[in-house]
Amino acid sequence: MNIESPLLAHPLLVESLRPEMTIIVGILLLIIVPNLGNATVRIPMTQFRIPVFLGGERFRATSDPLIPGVISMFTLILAMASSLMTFVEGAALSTVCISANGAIQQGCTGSDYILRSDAFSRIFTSIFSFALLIGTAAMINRMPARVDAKAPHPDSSDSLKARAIHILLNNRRQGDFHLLILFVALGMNIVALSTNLFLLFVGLELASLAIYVLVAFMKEETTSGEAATKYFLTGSVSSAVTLYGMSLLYIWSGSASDYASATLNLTGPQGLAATWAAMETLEPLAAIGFGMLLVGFGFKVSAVPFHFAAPDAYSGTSSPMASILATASKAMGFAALLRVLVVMAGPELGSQAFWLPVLGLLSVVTMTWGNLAALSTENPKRMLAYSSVAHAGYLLAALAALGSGLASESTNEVLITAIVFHLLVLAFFKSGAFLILTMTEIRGDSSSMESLYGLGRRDPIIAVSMFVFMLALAGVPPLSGFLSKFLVIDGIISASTGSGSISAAGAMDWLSSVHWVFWLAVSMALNSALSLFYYLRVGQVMFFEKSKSILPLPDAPMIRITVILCLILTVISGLGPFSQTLVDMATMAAQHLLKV
Amino acid sequence: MIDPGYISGLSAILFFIGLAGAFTRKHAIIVLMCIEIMLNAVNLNFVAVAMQTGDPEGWVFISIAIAIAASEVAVGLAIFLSLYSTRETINLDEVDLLKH
Repeated sequence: MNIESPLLAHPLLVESLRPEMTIIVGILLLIIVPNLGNATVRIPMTQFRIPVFLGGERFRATSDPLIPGVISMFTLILAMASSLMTFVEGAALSTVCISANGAIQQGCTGSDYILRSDAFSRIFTSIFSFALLIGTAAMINRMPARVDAKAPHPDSSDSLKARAIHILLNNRRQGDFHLLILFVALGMNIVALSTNLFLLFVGLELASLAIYVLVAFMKEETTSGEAATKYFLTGSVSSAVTLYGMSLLYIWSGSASDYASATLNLTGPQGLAATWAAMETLEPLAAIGFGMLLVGFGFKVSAVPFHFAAPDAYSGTSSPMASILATASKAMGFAALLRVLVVMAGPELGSQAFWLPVLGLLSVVTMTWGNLAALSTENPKRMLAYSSVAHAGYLLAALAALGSGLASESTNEVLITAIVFHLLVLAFFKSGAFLILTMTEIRGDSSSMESLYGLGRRDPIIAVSMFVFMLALAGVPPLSGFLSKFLVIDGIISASTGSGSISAAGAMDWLSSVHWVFWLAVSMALNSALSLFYYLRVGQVMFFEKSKSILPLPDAPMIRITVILCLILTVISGLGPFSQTLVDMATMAAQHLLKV
Repeated sequence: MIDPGYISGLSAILFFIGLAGAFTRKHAIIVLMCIEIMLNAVNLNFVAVAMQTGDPEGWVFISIAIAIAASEVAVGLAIFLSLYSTRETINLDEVDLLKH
């Protein structure tokens, strides 16, 4: 089916971009609703005043500080639901492409498009919405809105005054926080949808700029400014390098047609993928541009050597934001990496991609470095940050196996499925762990392991959930962390044994004949064993150390509900029918990515 | 017409000046200026291609890139201000509470 009509009048536009439209409506509501008031405008030369309902004295019902959080949560829930509709409706109906000249197609029969809504983009938009939803839910308790806030009494003591001012400040900045969260969601969705490099960059920057502000959001804390400064400077240097890489690719794409035309579209007859495939030997301009492009994505997934800002940013900012950085932001980086690596510079069957050795080396260094650093830290937020670096290493190993070009079509599918599934379940247990750190953070401090001492006695349910999240992060069966790691290792091994002759005489012969990608799987298994030490240490301090604080954990109802939700999802996505559904969704995404 | 090769050459020089500055300077605002130099070097590259192809796409990229660079400065300065209000310095060497 091929439909072409002016873009904005097209019924498919709203239908195919439902999650994005939902988020835009949410953003408009967040701007308008808290500002509704009794303002009037006088018609010039007369005494008539007409009400405009925007500004003036705000209405009591709409200026309630609780409203922004509710709007943002509902928007994200709706966005997630409409993203998941793709998998209910089936692939053929929901694959829609939009090209730069405004043509919009169902089924994507043409190829010169800049936005592509298919199972691959939709599974990522669901991950983003879910991860941001958890962050929002945690922030509702971390930065509570109080209806009963009053200005401080002039005669009260200094500490009471400071507390009243803090409550008022929290009320004032509710709208800002939730607005920025929705901008992050919109930017990330654009990254997942775009098949044009420049559009991808615009989405990346929209999400990143909002994230930089969110990292600095709790500005009364001494560490948040520092965390945001470091994260902002490294982030914007790497995105400048990325953009320079894109401009080099633009020159290269122009030079391929002798400057008759140039494009940053990945697909299409003149697209970068076609130019890449037509290249006989690796041209330096393409290689340099491509390498620079990967710097920015490497920063987003916090791979070595671009990891150095991540631990500081995670430990300096509030825990809900750290959870968003570790799940949503990382998934965004991998969505971009997969799109660019697989669609543009994917290896031909039987020949390896030029980025394979670099990526293979980086993955080993990243996972080992992340685990060693996590072993030696005494700060739980920093530990989770380093573990997030290690997890990036595991996923890069899967990408490297993909680049070896040895794997058959079905193994490639398994590898991409493994990456997508891992990012999906990571949003369950990593967010869950950060939610629990948010609770200790509300009680005072979460920047040292001591804040977790004796949690088993202070709050058994929370402590058990934390322990389950740690086991899932370590990859202990039957939790979802095990399944995702198993899929990655299985994919790598079946990719590499495609080259080795398994029936050869001895094991040593087999080992020397197997492709070196096999050793990535070995290094992953060793690293998983290493990581058990620091994950189990959390369990040890929770159940066997004496608590330094006798205070119970805060009530925080939103966080408790979300922790239980994450716990259930972590357990049921490891085994049984639900995990099968998730794997099927990830497989559908992988098929769509490979088909482009 | 100027040879586009010169434009991309100038762009490469500017980019590496910016990159070197971003890694060596210690004052946050000067690092931000270096990042701006890098982003503007990119615009020169787009100009060089857009001049030759005559395709308006390149000019569209430039105008969007300028807008992104401007919002990056706004966000950056706001973050530095919040850093200054708690630490009273924006020298990157002195900002080291989060080392462990």
